[in-house]
Amino acid sequence: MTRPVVMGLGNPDRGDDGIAFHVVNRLRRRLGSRPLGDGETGLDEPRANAALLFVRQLVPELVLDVGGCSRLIFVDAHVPAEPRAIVCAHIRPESRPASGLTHALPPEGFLWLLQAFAGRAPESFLVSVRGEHFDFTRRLSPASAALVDPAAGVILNLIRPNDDHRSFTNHPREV
Amino acid sequence: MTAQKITIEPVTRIEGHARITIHLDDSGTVEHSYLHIDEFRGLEKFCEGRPYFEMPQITQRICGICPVSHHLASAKSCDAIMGVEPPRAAVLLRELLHMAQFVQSHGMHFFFLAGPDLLLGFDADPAVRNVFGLIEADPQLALKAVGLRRFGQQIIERLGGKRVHPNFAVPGGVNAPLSSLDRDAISAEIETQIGVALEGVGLLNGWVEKNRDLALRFASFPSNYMGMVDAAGRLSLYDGEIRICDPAGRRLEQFHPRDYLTHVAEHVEPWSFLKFPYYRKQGWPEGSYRVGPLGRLNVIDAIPTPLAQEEFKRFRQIADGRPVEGSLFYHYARLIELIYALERIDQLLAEPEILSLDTRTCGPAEPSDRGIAALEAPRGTLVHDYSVDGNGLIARANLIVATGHNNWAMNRAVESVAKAFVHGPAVAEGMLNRVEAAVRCYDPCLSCSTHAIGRMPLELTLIGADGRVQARLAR
Repeated sequence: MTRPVVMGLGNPDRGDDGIAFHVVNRLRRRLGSRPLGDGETGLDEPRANAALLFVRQLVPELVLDVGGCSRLIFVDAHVPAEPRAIVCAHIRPESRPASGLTHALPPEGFLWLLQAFAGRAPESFLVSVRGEHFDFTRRLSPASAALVDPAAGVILNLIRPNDDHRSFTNHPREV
Repeated sequence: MTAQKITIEPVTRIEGHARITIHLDDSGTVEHSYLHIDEFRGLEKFCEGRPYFEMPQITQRICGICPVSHHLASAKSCDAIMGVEPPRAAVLLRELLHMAQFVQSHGMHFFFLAGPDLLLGFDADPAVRNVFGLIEADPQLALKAVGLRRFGQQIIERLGGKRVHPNFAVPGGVNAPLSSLDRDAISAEIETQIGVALEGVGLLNGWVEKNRDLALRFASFPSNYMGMVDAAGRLSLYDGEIRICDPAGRRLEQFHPRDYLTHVAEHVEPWSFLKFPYYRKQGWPEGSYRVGPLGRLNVIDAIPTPLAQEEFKRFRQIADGRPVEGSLFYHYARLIELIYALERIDQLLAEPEILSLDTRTCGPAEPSDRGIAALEAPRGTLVHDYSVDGNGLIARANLIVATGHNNWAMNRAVESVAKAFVHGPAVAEGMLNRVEAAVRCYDPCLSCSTHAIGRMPLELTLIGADGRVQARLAR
């Protein structure tokens, strides 16, 4: 698999925690793919130029789906304590996890698995979007809904072929 | 009198929260040890008042590892309440879902939970004696194990829409047929996955060969055994009668699951939220028994798939045809069942009726105010027993969960290993890991099993702002 992979993470039943679902679907519309329906992940779709996926959480099995991709972009929500609206960070595999698997597998831990299994992890980014409300609702808050389009734009820049990403450093930056 | 106490908390690489206490006398010799299950979730109680047909969805929330077992046992109980027999296609599809869960659960346990002890060593540095250490040591094997688990999860997703907490079984059948496309996709991978399971058996047998003495004596003790059998006395995981055998392998009882209360009673200890089921006729604790892979393989006469049957013959040679007592052989039995589950998936997919669109019986019905059903979950016999009122609302729910059946055995295993490996309070970490490993043999699922009804042992302490105990209430 030499295409880029965009993997949205979150829980659409918890308000803005599901913003990645909306960002991924915005990208799918822009790139001419059918938006994902409720409960769909996009994992079983015929191969397209870019894989635009959404899962509730990272699990080890997913390494079999994204291994070998050219670039991996995680999309997630962040809490208001992080004041920036959209943050794009260049991420690397974490150093060896200290303990066994828990119920949480962060993107950096997932990259460690990819590296361990395949010998290398792809160049990876974490694009996070600020959420305001994380209650039991499937609706986004107006403030977060307004960030869907800009976040999709950031990711489009990341998956555009032959793009120059030298501007992304190891330090997260606001976009 | 206990002079010192060693506490292992939490017990790692199991599902749920538990601790072990090892009590030493003045000379540092182990007197007693206990496996304490401290969590309490009480799901049975909040099922009361819910419509019975919601139960397959509600009860599977007990667990994220074996939700399918609860989902199916619940659906079978609801069949009994409705008084209907699901169509044959639905029975086949439910069993397919069930086998998929065995594949993912057994595969995960052997390779990722038990594997670090067996493949890296009980005394390996705890910093590497985990799944990540295993991945570093043998990434190709670990990747195959991940693929095996994914195979099981994908079948569950194909049938029930989700890998965890699927929406598939309903009272009277299942809510969707299987497409030929999905059947063919599953079939295409079976041979590969059987190869992974056989590789696991090879690894385990190699380990046993090198550690034969330890394997035979580690947490080895006589007990009764319980498991489900088909009409011919062979391994059956979805449906059948429940058989209990004594330590010599002689049949003590065989009964329909609806009669479970005639044969199974429960004992309570004040130091655990997990109850202790036992064979009623023999009383407590003589009637204690073991369930799960070892329990099942010790009560059956044969396995109805060829590769698993061949391995089962070798399993039976371990104790010259008598029940195998060593707890470490749970891992071997688990792998034999993994092969069986994969072969059974192949058998089920070859049934022409599995593609039938007739997947649900809606009537005629002879409703009942009681529905009892059982199946074999990966960790052992699972019973769901519901009583409903005239409006079909749950008046009472009783779940007897696999890990509960093994409560006595896990405690016995812990004590046995503690006495063998712990001498005095200054004990090496690897020795304590062996005590934990005794629990891991049983692959306990504690979230599943702490759903007791009735009077649970409970102590409530009211502490004032000054830190002094104001009142204590115990039952």
